[in-house]
Amino acid sequence: MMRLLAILLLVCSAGAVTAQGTTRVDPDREVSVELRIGVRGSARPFSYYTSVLSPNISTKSGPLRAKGYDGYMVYICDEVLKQMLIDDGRSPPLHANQIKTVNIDTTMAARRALAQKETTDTVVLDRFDLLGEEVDILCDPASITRDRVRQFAVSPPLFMTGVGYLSLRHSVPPSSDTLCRPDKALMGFVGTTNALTGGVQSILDAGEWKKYRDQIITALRNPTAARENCPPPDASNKPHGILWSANTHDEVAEKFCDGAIDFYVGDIEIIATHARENTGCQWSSGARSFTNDRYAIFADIDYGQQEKALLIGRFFEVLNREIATSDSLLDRAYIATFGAAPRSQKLDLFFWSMRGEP
Amino acid sequence: MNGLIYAGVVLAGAVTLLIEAYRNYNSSLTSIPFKEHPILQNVEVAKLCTPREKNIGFMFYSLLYLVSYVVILSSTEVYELVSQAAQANSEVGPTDALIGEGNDPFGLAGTQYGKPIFISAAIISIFSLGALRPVESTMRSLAHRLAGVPRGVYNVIEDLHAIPFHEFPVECPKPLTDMFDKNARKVFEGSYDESQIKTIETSLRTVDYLAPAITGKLRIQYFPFTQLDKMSELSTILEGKVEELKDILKKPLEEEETDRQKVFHLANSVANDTIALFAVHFLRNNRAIKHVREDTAISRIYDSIQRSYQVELNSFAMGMLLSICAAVIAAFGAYYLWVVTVAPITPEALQASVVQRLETQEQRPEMIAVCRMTPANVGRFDAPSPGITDAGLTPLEGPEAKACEAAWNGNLKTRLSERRQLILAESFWAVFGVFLACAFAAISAVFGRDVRKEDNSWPEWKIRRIPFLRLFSMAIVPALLAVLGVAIGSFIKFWVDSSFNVTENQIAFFFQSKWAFFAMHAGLGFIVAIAVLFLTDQHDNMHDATTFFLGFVFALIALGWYYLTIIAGYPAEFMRGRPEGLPFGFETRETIIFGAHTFFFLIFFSIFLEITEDRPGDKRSSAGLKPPLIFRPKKAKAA
Repeated sequence: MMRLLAILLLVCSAGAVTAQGTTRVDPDREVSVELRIGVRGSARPFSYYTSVLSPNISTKSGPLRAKGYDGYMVYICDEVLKQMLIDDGRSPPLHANQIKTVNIDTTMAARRALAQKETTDTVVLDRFDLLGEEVDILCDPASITRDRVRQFAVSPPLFMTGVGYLSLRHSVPPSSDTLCRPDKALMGFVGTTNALTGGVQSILDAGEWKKYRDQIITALRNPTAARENCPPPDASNKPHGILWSANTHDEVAEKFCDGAIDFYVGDIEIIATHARENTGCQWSSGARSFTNDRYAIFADIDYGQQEKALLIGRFFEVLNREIATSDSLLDRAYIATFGAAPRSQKLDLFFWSMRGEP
Repeated sequence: MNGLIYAGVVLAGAVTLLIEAYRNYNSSLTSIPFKEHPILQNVEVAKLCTPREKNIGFMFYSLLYLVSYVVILSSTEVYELVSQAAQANSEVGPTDALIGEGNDPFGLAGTQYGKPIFISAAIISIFSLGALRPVESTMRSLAHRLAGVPRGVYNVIEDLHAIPFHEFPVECPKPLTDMFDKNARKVFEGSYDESQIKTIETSLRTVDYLAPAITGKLRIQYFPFTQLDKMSELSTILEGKVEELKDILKKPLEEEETDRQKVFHLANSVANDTIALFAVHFLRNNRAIKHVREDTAISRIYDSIQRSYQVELNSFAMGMLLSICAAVIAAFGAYYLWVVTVAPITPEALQASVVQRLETQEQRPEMIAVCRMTPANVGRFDAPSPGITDAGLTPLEGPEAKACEAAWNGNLKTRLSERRQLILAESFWAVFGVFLACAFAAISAVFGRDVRKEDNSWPEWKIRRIPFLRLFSMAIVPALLAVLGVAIGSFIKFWVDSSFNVTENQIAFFFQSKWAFFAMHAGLGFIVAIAVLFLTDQHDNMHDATTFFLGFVFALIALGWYYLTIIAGYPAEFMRGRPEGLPFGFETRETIIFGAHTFFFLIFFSIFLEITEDRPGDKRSSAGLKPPLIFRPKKAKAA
């Protein structure tokens, strides 16, 4: 963490030196650098596409929201970018047409479709593969992990969440010897099994799902064998077996609310928001969540492209300034996203530790 | 919150309760329960108990306090968990414990630590309130009953008063009556005290027949179990009084009014004292009189007081036993019909498993191919499969035929027995929760009535003037206990289903989804309690058929309530339509499965109330009806 901050500081100071020590940048010069911001199409309530006509989007909105994207993480990025668009005469200038918004979900879907043509196996892609290739800054609910921090530049933690699970309020959990069902899955989630393992392990460690424990662990360790033991009934990707994943939360939430999934697993805010959007879906998240994950903004800084590196450095500088004091950007993003919904004690403490007293 | 400290606080709450229970129990031992009877004045409960009984009584009494404590404390824990889950649903952010929260020994100011103490204090204060005295006295009476502490004196006294002593045969010795006849009757006859003769005769006969059993040496013979100093002392006092009466009647009575009055008052008071002391001896000796010879006065008395003993408790026990069996059978039937209609075992459903079985046995592929057909000699299926008509049942020939048929029959048999087992288990568990609810409600009503009778605060009532308020107030505790019973029963099933390991989340889910169903059982407990009280109180005044009919009416009301419970307590997602070909729908099925127990219990209870009871002078005797054939005590014929 210290090392990371040192790098950031270096980047920021480098930016400042460039801005102050060298010649002033001519605002009218031709812009060549493009800042590609990765946002998600459907990772509500953190990063998602709504509509350019959405009531949340107003003249106060920044470049991301103006394009119809919204959410907690998007709000933060958007506000920072808005600040960056103001030319204070000493920072590297940024023009609205320099900002390119990349919908990660669409890009991933295209990539997946392409890869799927070459293999019959299920193609598993990680959105972080796009960072550096098609995206410079990733504005989505990305948990801070050791691997990600090693590879990319990372902002301070911006939100705290936990892995939990939802179950339909009146559903009866299946018996442990009938888990291979053709039309129903025990657990539904989005993404890869690897990403899920830690969260599920925490849930199992807390004593949940005792009667399915062995089967879940076997399925997590060897998903291929689990699929062979309980093959899908047909070619369509209907929920079945122990672990079932889809590409979007919309899809999983819909199946969950239809009763085709017993437990909907994921980061608690995301799964709750998606389940809530299915009218009439009566679910419960239980008394507690099971892990603590912190979301941050990740970026890929290529020092070979000095101008872009400076812009990203400037992005982090503005971000740090905006969140560290009272009237924090974190609070504004929270209110814009969650309204008057109460914060859990832990999230409250997190906010307090980031910005002090409000 | 630190678990160890919390456990300590819970323990402290329990100890506080134990201290209060000890204080309360001790004060109850020093009370004088039978002060209406002169001879029993100054007789404390403690003096009629052995130390062993006192200790066991305290054990049971404190146990009941602790049970209330555990029930209330765990209810608050469950409530907290459910509200926490509800809060977590609306909160944003992680909802697990904060770092260090579980091990912080300094956060003693936390409200959670105070909860057990608060509950313990609440129980103490609530039980000492006058309004809830009946609950406390029911608990104490239950503890006394369990420990064998003598109680129920008033019932025995009532029974003794009802015995027609004048009908006893002449052979029974009656010295005082004979003395009266010889020395005093004439003095009364012709005087204006003539009308007192009958009363004096009854009193003297009472003393003649009862006193020998509780005075002198015969006392040890008839009541050998418990010998307490106090009882010997009381016997000596009674003996003195009987002697006093004897001394007056020994010689011819003077024709003085004061002498006649003296005889009258003394005879009455000695008779009352004798009855009271006899009742105490009787209870003190486990409601038994030993070494009784046939056709003596004492054997007749024994028969009379045994007859009406514990009719409602016996009916409760038998009713419960039979209703469990009947309800499981009814639930099994309803489930079975439903499963057979909704998911029948058809040849098609079995085909895959037959093939799999043959493949596991590594049979030849051509044989497996043949066995894909359903051989004609296979046992009965629930329904023909839409794909396989009669023509599909192929008469197989050759060496494969037998192996094929064996595979089909084997699989069919396994599937059928698995299904039966599963349905039976489900039926049992469904009945189990309702059984607890009904049992808690009924037994608390029976005990409550018993205690009120013992307190002399449950007067007889007429069917035209039903004491609704009294019945309703008595049915409140059973209603609450019914909710507790069904919650405990369902939770036990849930606990067993989850391999005895439930997590906080599961508990929260469980109660969130079932609270409405549980709450509706308050109504059921209320109906059961009213029915039990009504039938127990009134069956003496009604003909057998009327009692049975009333039992049936109450049973129907309970069943109707269950129908409402299903409609109101079940979430909409649970409801299903009526399957084609079945005479009943989902709501009716659930009503049968869950309501059958209460339905049968109330019917059996009313039947057993009538056939196990035989009170002299009841409507059977007075109406000249034949006594029931079953369960009638042999000796009762004499009365």
